Amino acid sequence: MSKLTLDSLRKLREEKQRSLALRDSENKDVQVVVGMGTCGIAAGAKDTFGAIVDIIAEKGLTNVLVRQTGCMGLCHSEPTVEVVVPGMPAIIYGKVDVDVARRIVDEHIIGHKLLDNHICDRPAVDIIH
Amino acid sequence: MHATICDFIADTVQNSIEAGASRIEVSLVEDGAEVQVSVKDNGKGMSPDVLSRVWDPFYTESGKHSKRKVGLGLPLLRQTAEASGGNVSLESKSGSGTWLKYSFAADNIDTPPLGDVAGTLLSLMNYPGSFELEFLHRRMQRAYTVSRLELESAAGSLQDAVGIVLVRDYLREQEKELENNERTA
Repeated sequence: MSKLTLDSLRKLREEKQRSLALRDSENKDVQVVVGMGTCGIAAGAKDTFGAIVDIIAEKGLTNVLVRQTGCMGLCHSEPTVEVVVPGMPAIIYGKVDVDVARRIVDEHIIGHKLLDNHICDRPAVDIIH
Repeated sequence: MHATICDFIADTVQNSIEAGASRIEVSLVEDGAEVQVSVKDNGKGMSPDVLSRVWDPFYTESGKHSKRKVGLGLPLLRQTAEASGGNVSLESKSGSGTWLKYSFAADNIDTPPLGDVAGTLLSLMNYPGSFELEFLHRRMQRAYTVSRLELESAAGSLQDAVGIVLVRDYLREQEKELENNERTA
């Protein structure tokens, strides 16, 4: 396989845009925020982030913004992922491995149902400020 | 917490972003004798008073976590670098920016492993905010450079799953090329 260049990257993007009819990020109404502080990374947040991105791309979901943030103050439950879906409360999930990431996409983002056993209490304001 | 050199890079670049930098230049150079890292930003910089205290693990700026009593990033970096035959230098000027350089001896048993360069770079590129991040990775005679603006222009938004997957593949490809060149050299 020849080396992936910026030009080939541009072409791949155009192909994907055509096949998925991608919209601009302003039209994205769902947000997934992965905690990528040192604590999150130590607990496997990079794998979680990669899995979320792969699953969203695989399912062709074009309305999801994937972002990251630092420590959310829930180091005991890392990796943590916040999911914001219109019409639903913003939820922080804890101990999100690859399997839980898939369930978040399938059940929460697509099915609009909360996942039991992984929901964390939001930390005190002075911690997340 | 900081198990690899990439963890230190991630930590220091995150600090640059949080310091409001609009431009961050990072280089990672492996010349066979040393692994050298340089992170230079145009963020808010540090006053002489702060600069004189940053190596104290019981000192932290209270901006981000008002109740936190320790600031372990730089002290831990210095301890690790010096324990592995390297060193750390820091230049900073309030209002102008900060330049942090650190190195590890390549053959020292206490030198942390390099870690996942492509994965670390991807997560830094995805960090929210408007800033340019230029990254150079040189291994012996071979090198590549990437720029956040260039990647965004080629792959689209770095907060879109498709864009992230494309950039991840691109960065992995650059790293693989360095490894292949090392094997064939």
